[in-house]
Amino acid sequence: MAFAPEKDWSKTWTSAAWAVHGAVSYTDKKHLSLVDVMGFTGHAFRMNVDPEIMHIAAPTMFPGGYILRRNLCNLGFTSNLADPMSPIPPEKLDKVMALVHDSIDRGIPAIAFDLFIPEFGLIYGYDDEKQLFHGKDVSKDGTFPYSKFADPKIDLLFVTTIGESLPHSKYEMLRMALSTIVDHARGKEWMHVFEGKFVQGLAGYEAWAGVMEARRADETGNAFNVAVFADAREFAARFLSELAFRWDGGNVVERTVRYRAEEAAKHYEEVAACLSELREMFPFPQGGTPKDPETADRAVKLIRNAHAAETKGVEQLEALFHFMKEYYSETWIN
Amino acid sequence: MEIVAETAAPLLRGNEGAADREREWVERARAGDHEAFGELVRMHRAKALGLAGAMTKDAYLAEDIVQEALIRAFLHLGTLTDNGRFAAWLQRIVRNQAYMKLRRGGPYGNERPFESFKPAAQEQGGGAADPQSVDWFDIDSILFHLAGQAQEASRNSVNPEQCLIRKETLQGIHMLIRCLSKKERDIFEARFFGELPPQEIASLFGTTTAGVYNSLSRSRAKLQKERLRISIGLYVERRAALGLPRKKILAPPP
Repeated sequence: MAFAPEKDWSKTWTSAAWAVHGAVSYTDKKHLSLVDVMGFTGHAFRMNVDPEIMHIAAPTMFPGGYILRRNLCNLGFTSNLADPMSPIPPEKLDKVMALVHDSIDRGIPAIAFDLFIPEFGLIYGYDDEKQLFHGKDVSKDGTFPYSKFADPKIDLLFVTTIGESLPHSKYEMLRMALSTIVDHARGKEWMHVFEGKFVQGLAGYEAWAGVMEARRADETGNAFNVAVFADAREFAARFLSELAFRWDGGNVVERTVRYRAEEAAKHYEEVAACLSELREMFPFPQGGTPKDPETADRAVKLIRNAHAAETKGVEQLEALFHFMKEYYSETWIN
Repeated sequence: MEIVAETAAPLLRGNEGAADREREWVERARAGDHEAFGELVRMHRAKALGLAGAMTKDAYLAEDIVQEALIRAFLHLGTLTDNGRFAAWLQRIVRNQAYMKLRRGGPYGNERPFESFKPAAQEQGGGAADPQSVDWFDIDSILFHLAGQAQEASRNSVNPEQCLIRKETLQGIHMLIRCLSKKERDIFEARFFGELPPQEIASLFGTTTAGVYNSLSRSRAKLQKERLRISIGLYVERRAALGLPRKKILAPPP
């Protein structure tokens, strides 16, 4: 482990966070790093699991509008959302396209889904003469015609754009982030149409272990999920360490954040280590042999270790969240 | 002169008054007035039906002829130079239509109206589909939308005349559709798509007309594409008319 090359913190397997960070980097909040974005949006702490076969699509199966709006909200932005169902009526198409054009005219790319592959991406340019959008996602940087944009392969046309940048304090940002993280970990996040189909947060680990025990894990799907989770928790640990480092003041708030974040970071490092081992066992895209009993049982142990560590991490973050809503007394004499 | 005639029209309840009223309807219909064309249709329909019926001795065929004639009349309303001659003009169209049908050899000849393709198409399209639920031409909303778009474009465009003509055409088609029956609409819709360039008809409808409705779902998808294409075209035009940038490309994301 000590010899492992340093992770490239400008890349992530969570395309939603990649896209949000990309868009944010065009605003006055460009100082936010990908680590910050992964942390404050809660993406570093997500686990959305398909309890049947560890389906490959599970990590992106969340109500995109709701999550992306909350992501941007946590970072201190108002946002706009378009998610009309396809086939898209012409009058709605106009409005969605205007959202994209308007955002680019304001100098900020629009966040969209399935530009080239079914992941989040950014539309950063337009050419009305040629009727082409310029877009980038993790797979490609290129152009695509307006007509392709208007006729999505998925059942809705998804666009989110950044509105106004609000002067959120670091206290608000942390409080909102913790609210998102804890909600997700405790399975309280609004799932909309995905309700009951996926298991989120801490409960995801047990669902995953269940798939392994039933020897039902889809090779590629399982490997993709592991890659996403391991990457996310590495960001989580890093985010918490940076938090502890940055909150270096002497008052009770600074002290408590520092203490809780440091404690949580230790647990998340342990989670990341377990997941990293699983990632080596199930490399994406081949995926190894998750149905092989011996391999699967070894995986189950690591999954349960990760679960135990993350449970402790979440407890720290939960305690910090409560504290951030009502700070303790600076001095208490009783 | 004309102003006097128009204001005097309501006072004269004779033939002259009816002619003036009609002239006014035509004028208004050409300007895109919804009600006016409906009124013209109501005014002339019975007479046109009588004429077509007398020529063909077939009530159903006569109805088809009148429907087509009305459609033609509407599409070419702009070419009518004398507003007062709408009735005569319509009758000429009815006559031409009737002759054409008769020459082709009885009802339909080689060219069956749209509707007769439908039952077969629905069978092929899969038994599960409820014929009632197959409303794949949401043409009303398409046209209503396009007319609105075009109107807005005409307000800002550098070429308002062209935009206005389009607005009127679209608005008119929409309006016409509303005063037609279900059966008439089906035929009209065929005409609507008949106005597209041949390549597009080929890709939209497949290679032969008989194959057109072999797959309702395919048609639906293509119709959707088409309406989006038109919609995108108008959207881009409108942006240009508003003087918004034609092209803007930010630095690629990291």
